[in-house]
Amino acid sequence: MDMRGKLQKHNIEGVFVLLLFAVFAVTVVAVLALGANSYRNLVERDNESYNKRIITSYVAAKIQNHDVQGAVRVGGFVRPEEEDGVPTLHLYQDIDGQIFDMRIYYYQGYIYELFTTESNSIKPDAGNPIMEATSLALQEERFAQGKTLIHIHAVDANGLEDSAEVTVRSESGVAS
Amino acid sequence: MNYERSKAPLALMEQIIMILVFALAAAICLQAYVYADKMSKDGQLRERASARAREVIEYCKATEGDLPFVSGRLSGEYGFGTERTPESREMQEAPDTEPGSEDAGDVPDTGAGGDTVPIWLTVDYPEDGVKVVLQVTDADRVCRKADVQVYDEGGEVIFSTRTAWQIGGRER
Repeated sequence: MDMRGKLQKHNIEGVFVLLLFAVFAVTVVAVLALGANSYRNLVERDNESYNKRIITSYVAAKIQNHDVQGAVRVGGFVRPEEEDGVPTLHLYQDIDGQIFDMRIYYYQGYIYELFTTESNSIKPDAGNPIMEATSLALQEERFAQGKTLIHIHAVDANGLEDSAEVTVRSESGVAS
Repeated sequence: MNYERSKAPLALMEQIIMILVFALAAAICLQAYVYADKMSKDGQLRERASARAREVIEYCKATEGDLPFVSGRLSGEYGFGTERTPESREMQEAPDTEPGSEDAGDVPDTGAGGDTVPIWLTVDYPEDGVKVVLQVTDADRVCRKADVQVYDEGGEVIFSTRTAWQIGGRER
């Protein structure tokens, strides 16, 4: 084999090694990208699931924590019996003989919580914004058995809808 | 003439070993990705299943187990059976109903001696790919107990829980 032939052979071997390395590098990047994509999907799915559920879970937990006879009402912002455009969950508490009202409602892009005295005509923006949302609908349904079911329908800031039902167990009293 | 030997075969060998090791690692990683994705999807489905089970349970609690009403409201189906009451339990546990005796064959699993009442309810949620099945297992004067199971589209139980609700009540 002459000098020219040997140099040509070396070049082909070198190119093949280089090509193999390039394929290897591309595969490494592809596997890494696949892993990153897979991880992103998992995180997105978890976040979506959490965000979707958090509003209804929060409201349901509040209702269950305040499940005392006559303490849970749904209606207008100032008084439950007066519709005023801000559907509100009222959770009443008797503290040293005075009735206090914890109000949970949706107002201008946020779920608010406000702790005030009963029937206080305070403005909705006086409350504490708890979390971003698109809407919160609350509906009270009374059954012949004397129990009340509260329907919660929430849309989170990303537009994901979720709904839940909570029975107010205290309404019918204690079985005997 | 003395030519230098090519180092390319050595580099090639090194790369082949590298690729083999990498292929093994990549295969394990891919399996892990797929498994993680499956676990995440299963978790999401179980979460939806528990939410649907809770919906059915809350309706049952609010209506004191009025299964025909709940079935109508949630577009489900209900079925009849005999309630397992304290009286029927006593009857089942009575010494003259020994297994294998003539009487024992007449005692149904769900109980005996009571009236035939709605005791099971199924509600389909095709949008979530789950089906909730509630079966009343025990009943007494003030309480009903039930098993709740949620099935996926393949008919496998993906979530199950027990519940109970109060019957009647009095003002405090």
